[in-house]
Amino acid sequence: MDELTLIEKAKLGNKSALNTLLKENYNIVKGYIIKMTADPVLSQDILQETMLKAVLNINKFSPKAKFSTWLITIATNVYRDTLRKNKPITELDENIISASDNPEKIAVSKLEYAEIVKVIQSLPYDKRAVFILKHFNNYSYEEIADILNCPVGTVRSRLHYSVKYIMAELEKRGIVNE
Amino acid sequence: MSKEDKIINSLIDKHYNEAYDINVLKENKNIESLENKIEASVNKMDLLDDMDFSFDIDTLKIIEQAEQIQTRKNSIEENLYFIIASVLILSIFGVIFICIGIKSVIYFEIALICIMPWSLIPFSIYGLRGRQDE
Repeated sequence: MDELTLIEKAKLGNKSALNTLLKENYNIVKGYIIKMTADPVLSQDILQETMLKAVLNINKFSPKAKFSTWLITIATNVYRDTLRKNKPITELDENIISASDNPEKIAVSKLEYAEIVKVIQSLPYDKRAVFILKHFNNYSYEEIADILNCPVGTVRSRLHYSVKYIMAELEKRGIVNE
Repeated sequence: MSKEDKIINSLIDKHYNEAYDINVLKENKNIESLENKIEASVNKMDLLDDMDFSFDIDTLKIIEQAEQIQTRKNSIEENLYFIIASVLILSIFGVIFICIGIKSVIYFEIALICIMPWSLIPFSIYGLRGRQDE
């Protein structure tokens, strides 16, 4: 069943269709939130609230964009609200890297990995969101502008800033050579 | 904006398959090292793809939770409408009584006492018929 049909059914109150929609987009949103927060407790809270808000407002969703894009928009807003409320963010756990089946990646030291997480977390949230959405989710500037509700030019400059910042930080920390 | 900044910005746009100023890159020949640096830096960030936390969320439970919230919200709305309607009706009666005079309240009550018992007759007839049919 395609996404549009599922959305129509979900709007009519079909629980199964709504559940399928949420399950199909679960990993995309989870990945985005995890990269944004780097915190297991916060990620779980935000994911739960995002899903709840999506279910409550399913009738407001117009299928101009993908359902996953809409969920990411909600997740971004929930995360921004959480930051405003100044929820304490726990320290980064160095063991959060999952057991990957790629031996090359396993070989990378935990220290280097932790440094990379620190670099992304030290970016301001709006710039971090742009970088994650562009680099990992491969959204276009226009789509990111819709998600973050800002002009395309702002998205472009935020990405430029983020990449330059990452380059400088990785070089400073000796992860990438000049 | 410095010349190097312009080159880096164009290279970033190029890396992410977005529209970029090709003239800026054509004018400068030593952009390869900068391009490699950008590639190496952003590719390093791919390590974040391995970040995962072992938690799972029961989506069906969330749907049920949302239903409960919706039901609660609806009942609050209904109560609110009831209160508003009651206040509105009572206010209308109040205004009418003030305009017509306080004596009319007593007349209205007497009329109500006289009419109300009669209104019960159709209900009792309907009830009796129902019993007879059984």
